[in-house]
Amino acid sequence: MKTIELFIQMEGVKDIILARVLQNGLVKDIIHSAKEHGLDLANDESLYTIFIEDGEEAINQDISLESAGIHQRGHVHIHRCKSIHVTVNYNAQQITRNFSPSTTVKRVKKWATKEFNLTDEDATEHALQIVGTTERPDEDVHIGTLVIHPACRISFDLVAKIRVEG
Amino acid sequence: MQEEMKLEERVFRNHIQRGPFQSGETGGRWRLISIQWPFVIIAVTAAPRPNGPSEYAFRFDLTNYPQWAPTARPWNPECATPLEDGKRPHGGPRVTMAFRTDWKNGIALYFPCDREAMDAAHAGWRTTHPWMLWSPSGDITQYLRIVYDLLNSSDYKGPRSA
Repeated sequence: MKTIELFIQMEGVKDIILARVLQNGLVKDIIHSAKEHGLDLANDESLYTIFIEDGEEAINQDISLESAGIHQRGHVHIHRCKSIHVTVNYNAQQITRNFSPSTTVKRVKKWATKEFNLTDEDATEHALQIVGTTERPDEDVHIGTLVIHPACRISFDLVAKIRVEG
Repeated sequence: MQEEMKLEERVFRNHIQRGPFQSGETGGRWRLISIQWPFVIIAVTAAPRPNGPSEYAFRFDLTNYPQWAPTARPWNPECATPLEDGKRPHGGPRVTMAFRTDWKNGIALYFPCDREAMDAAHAGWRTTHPWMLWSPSGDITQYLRIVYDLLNSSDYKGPRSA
């Protein structure tokens, strides 16, 4: 049986899991594979939905991986929240929007910097920092990893990157 | 008789097979060039710049990994020598400071994740740049992400002599 590798991120887990699934398997097999790799699903599996990275809608779990467009080394996400309410603060302004849990920090930042009218150059000199922390998730992190159901919301500050000196 | 692989090397080899490193490699952010423990050479992709390379190689000293933070310097893998000063990344204040040559002869990158740089004289970085501190519970991608961010920022202008 041929297998493919997938990068899995999921609810509240700050790691990227590299897992194997059967190439001709179904989307729901991703959840079984995630469990085999030690991911602890808090309760009923049927409550979890699967998203492709940066995809807006959950995927039908009864279709094949191929039909869902999931291929070798694709990125997927498992979460109970169907969408996440994101707030970004910058210069005493605040913007909000709903994103899917599989949305990357890179995509959220791109949206936020555009809304705040930053140039592309200025955007690379800013980072999203989780409000009330010093944590700046990397660009390939899915926002769903930062959130645990039923609290389907997160807030960031858009902060300037400052040079290391001293 | 073949020498038994040290635990720290086994841990590192395990880490680079896992999701965070593999995701970065698949995404074209970095690639492993060689392992000759405790020295590891990894190339990090850089944004296109006039006369700039597509990537920079770094030689890491990973002694006592991951309990000790890594230390790394820009490297010329063809010549197996430190990268010439004129070819080191250059740009605005963030990039120039990180890849400075006027501190300890440029033997390490100048930010908190590097164990050579994170010495007693730089204890203040723990409060000014906590997101750049090395955590022994993490892996090498903590360091690589910082370098990738620098080399793909608008602050990066290309090699020093370009």
